[in-house]
Amino acid sequence: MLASPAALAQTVSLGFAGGTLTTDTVNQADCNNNAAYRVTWSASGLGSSNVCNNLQIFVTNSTSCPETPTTSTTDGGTGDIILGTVGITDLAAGSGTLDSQQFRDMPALGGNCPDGVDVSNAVCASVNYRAVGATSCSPLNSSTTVTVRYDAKPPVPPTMSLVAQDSVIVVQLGDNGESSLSFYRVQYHAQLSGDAGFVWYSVPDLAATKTSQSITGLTNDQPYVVRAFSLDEVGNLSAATDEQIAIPLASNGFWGEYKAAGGHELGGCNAADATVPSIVGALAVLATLLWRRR
Amino acid sequence: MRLAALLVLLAATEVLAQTVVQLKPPPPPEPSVGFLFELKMGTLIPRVGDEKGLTSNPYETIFGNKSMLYGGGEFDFIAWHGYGAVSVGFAAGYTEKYAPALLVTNDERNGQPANEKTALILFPLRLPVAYRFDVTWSRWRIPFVPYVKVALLATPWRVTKGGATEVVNGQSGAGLKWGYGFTGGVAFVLDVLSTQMAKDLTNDTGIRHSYIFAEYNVDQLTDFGKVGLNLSARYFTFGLGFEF
Repeated sequence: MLASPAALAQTVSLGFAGGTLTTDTVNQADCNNNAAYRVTWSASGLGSSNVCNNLQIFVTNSTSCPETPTTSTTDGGTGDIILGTVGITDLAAGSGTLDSQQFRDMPALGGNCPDGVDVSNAVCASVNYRAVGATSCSPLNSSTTVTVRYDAKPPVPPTMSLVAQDSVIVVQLGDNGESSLSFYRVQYHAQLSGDAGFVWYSVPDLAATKTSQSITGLTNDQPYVVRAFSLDEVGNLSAATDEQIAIPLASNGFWGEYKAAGGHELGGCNAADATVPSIVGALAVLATLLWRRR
Repeated sequence: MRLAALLVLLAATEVLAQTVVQLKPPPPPEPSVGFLFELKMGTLIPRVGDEKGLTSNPYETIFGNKSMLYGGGEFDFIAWHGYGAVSVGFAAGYTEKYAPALLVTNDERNGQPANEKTALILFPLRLPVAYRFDVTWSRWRIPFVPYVKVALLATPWRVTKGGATEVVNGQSGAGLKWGYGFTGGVAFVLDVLSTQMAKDLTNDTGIRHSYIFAEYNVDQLTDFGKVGLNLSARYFTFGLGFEF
């Protein structure tokens, strides 16, 4: 026996096509390239017997959803934008996908992709329906809030300190209070005398979950200039840190000091004489003894 | 009167009949085989400076006169138990020492501590054969058990600088050093402190004896006399052991 739509709980939920994210974010470059998003909807308990008008899916110039869209210019300066409507017949089908929408058409952007802005707009759904036993219609809004976000705001530069070692500079990095970092980028160049030109070299980006990056293969006694950047989750690059200088210096560890003192050991994995039984062999002998004893 | 005397005699006989003479049973003989497990620690200074031809002692240069803290474990199989016990086993340990590397410059900074640290890391392994004169405890109830060991040693070693294996002129600071060692020690049998606890431990866990020990080790780690990195050491270790 099938239950009538009015007998079921009435819900409308939204999502993004092709993913489970509740926030879809683009940076400035993607926005300029007319990046787009697609909204999916699903409904239950709604049909011709209890729906009073079409379902409206809209993006609003706010991070929360109003009961109904306002298409005038009263909601933060730019009116809500209707992304699509779903007729009563389609609504009864239960789910669907709207046409793709460009991020630059978010109400907060007004068709542009401005610098230094980080704005979020909620995507909402609204429909009027008649509850069981009711004589008038009341609004029903989406039970889930999905958000489109335009993030062109660069993160703050990281904190940076340098530790010079033997042919190495260890760059110690901190997030400087920024919570949305994905990577650090470290660049360096040799400090040359006079006005000689230089090229910034980059080492592979370091995940922001780590705190230090080593620049290796440097020339000892040569000053190096180092700077670092932060990259947030959508690839926005921070300003550079203040440039710092470090000078790698040669050093001896125990092995270097041993060799400098005239040590004869050659090191490496072949140090043991080949005639000496291996550890594995010795263990095998022991195991055999134990086994035979049992 | 005679009847009363007879009744008294019968009653006394009844009491006597219920008297049980409690004879203390002899201690059970020690099983002929078993196992030992020991945890031990100590400090040691490898005799790196004993290598012929060295112009200085690099261990002292880097680490001063500070010892390496050693910790390890040993597992032995008691292969014979008669007048004493003979066991063969395997022991593994770990010890390391960290200190700043030293700058190598042409100015007054030469020899000063560098920003990176260097470490000497050893993984001592040994195959010991031991004789324990445990007659002192099993027959005479003297809780001190002297013992001696001779062992084949193999010690993988590694030197790091700045967290990576140090390489000098293409030679990597890592290898394997072979040798032999002698150990003499004495164990104090903890069973003597509480016989009942010792019995409970045996019944509950199968551990027949527990003991603490102190031993002196003479390790010759020179690849049997080859001239090279000398990791020999003479040192005390202390620990806790279980026989089961």
